[in-house]
Amino acid sequence: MWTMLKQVLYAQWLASRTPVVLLALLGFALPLFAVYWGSGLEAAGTAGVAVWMAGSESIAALLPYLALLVGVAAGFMAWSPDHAGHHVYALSLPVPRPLFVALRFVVGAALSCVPAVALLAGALIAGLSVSLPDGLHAYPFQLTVRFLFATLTIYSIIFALAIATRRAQLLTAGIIGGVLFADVLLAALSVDYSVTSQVLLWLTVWPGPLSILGGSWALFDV
Amino acid sequence: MSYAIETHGLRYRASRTFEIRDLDLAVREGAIYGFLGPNGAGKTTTIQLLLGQLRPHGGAIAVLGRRVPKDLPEILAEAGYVPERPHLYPYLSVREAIRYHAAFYRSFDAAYADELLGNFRLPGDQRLSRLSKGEMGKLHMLLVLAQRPRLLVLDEPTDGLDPVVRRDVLSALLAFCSQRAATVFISSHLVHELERVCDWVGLLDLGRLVAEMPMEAFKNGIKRIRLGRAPAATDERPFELVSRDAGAGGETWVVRGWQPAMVQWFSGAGGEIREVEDLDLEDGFVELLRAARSRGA
Amino acid sequence: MCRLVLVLLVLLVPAPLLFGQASRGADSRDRRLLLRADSLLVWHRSRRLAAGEAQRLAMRARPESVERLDALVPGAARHDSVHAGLDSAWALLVELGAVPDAFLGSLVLVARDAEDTAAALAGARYAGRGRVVFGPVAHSGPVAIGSAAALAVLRAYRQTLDAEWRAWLPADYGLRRSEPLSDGLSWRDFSPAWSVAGAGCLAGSASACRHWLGLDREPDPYAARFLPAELRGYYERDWWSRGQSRSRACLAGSDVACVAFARESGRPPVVAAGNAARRSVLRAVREIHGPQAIARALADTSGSLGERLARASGVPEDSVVMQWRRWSLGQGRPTGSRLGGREALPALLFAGLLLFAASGSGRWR
Repeated sequence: MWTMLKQVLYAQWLASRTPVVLLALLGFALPLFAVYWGSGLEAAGTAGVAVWMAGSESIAALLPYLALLVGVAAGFMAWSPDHAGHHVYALSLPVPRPLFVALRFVVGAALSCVPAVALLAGALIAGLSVSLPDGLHAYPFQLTVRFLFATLTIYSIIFALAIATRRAQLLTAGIIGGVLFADVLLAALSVDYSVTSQVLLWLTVWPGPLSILGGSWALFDV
Repeated sequence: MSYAIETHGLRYRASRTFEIRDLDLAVREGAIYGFLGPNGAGKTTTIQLLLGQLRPHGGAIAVLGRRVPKDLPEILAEAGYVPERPHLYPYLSVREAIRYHAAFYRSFDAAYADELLGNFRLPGDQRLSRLSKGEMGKLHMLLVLAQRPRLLVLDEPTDGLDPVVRRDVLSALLAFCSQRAATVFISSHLVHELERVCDWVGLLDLGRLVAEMPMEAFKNGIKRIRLGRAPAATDERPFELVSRDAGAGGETWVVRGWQPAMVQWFSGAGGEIREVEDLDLEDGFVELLRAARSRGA
Repeated sequence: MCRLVLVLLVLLVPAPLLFGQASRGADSRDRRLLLRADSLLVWHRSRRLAAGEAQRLAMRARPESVERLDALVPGAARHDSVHAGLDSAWALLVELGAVPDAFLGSLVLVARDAEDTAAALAGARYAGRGRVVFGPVAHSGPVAIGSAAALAVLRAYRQTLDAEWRAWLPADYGLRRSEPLSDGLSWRDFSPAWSVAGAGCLAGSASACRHWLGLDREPDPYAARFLPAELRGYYERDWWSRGQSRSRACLAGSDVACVAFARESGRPPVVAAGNAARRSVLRAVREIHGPQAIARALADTSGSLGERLARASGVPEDSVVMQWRRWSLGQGRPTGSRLGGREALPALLFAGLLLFAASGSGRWR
């Protein structure tokens, strides 16, 4: 089992190292950019803290999108080598199928941790490079863990969709289209109700599955 | 008698116009079974059904004494598969592909793989995406042979390969078979290629098994007989009548299971033989197909 | 139907049923906040519920509080609403702790729609007492009555304070109609774009906090509390200031002109900290040093506001501001913003569910 996992991880790394490295660089750079962003602005003495707090909050708005990007990329890359060969090779291996799917999942999740580790490194360096006044704190570990969970959620969605049959993918697209169409229909009937809003509400407010994308993404906070 | 591959009433509908129906295969253990058929006959589909890559709509499949798909991982651990189209990950190098493959097979013989790497003259550090078609074919064969399988399933393994590569591949296959009592199930539309290696042949056309017989019987037992006078109608023939055509100067019969002594039967039945013509494999193949299609129509 | 589609349907279909017609009647502000996927509204509601509960407990604990606020109301008013409203007003005033009992006893509240009760006011009971108008109370609910009564009392008390307190105390004296006293500040409240002192206060400078809150008594507050460049930046962004001929010299680069224009125009506000910050000062002093500290501070008329707060709290002035800063920032942290198991669990469960669905995908079955 360990040998299989190593080989699948190595093969997946070879297939996806370029996007993983690029996303990791982005993850590393964002917290540093938040802190050093304000250095070129006019700021009298003690105004620096407000500048990099503002930078941290601006960058905080970008981090969920980075998590989304990492999750989507990892999800597609998990199956792209097998998609190219129509899954013939993978299906001919003497491994129970749920186990192979789990192997692919674990490997993809492991690779999507690379940008998270880079984010942690960048956040730690950013936190150490500023002197935090009393009452303000840096949250590099909290931020990284939130990033990891958000990435895992998005990755799981894309992973499942990528391995689904064409019929299931079309059905999923159909359900999404159906929800949107329902709104159009209700609007045409002058009914003050939005199915899309309710679905988004449910998804993004706890205990919705995408609630992890909300919350505080700021590296520095009270 | 044990069978490496058995199917009973296998059924699979691929589309509205194509269906595999009532397929009863029986491949003996240790046999080198050639699975013949024209393009679109359903050979690849049958192989995919045997290896669990497709789910049948009816019937039963047993491979190496185990049920498909219930015992699929155990079956695949002892079966080597070379598909029609290359399926390995193109970004791996040759050695990386060997290591990847070896990780999944307990019986993988790394030393033998190295030996074959040298025999096939494959560049170990070359990426698979840069290998030629012949080199890729050899690599596939290397991987499945190094697995030391009990069953080899080869789907058009030499298709598109030049004669030199084809010879190398088939030589390695024969060498493997001579060392181990493995069963080989090889599909192809190249009749002459199968003639050299197979001892059994099954003929598939439009999803139906038309004929299944020892290669010897296929090679020597199909004849075209030109008759000056047809014998009196009788159902008790010592051979199988494949087709019967009437012409200006008499009738032409294509028969299967012919032996020279059967000439006497014609004399006894009031018939007159003008000529007994040997059919080569390809002609025999074509005649069997033609007869099967006319029966189906 | 394959597992994936089944999982997605199970997750998506109940959403409209669970929320029903919640959007009908829910105000658009709620919807915007929720759609931002920010838990702030959830936090906000939970705090309101808690504060409301605290008020109800306060009223239950002081059944006699109704008697403390003498009020004249029209006969048409529903007395249970008025009683409940006056109870909540009393609770608010006690919570603030700023108004002495003697002052409360010295006035009578008159409902706006009972102003014609001149005869009642002339009676012995109300003789010599100050009259404070509040309401109207007829057809009003207890919450509206309560906050109107409390505000009216506080406005009346404000008139008894000295000019410095009158100028500094927030306009609504820290009370809002539908919410309890606000708590803390987010870091953003410390540093609007133009305020260097606010940024310095955020950075931990006690003197910057004093400047920002306007607690020092300065002969020239604009010169003491603002940098000319800061004022210039403010006027560049402020459309009214930009349109004034008197600001041209400042905008052209004259520092002296900037300070002069500030004195003349009163812009920006001489106390840079807004109502929220000043409200939180009162709250922090009350929380840390008790309600009597506010009463003592407001009754003190000597020295700067910072000195009065220091004397009332019994700690040095810098300590007062730093205590307020620490308390306020701590209160300003939204609960649940730090990732806990509660947030992570749906993500993990969902990932597990999808992995289960993926392993059952048609071709991989």
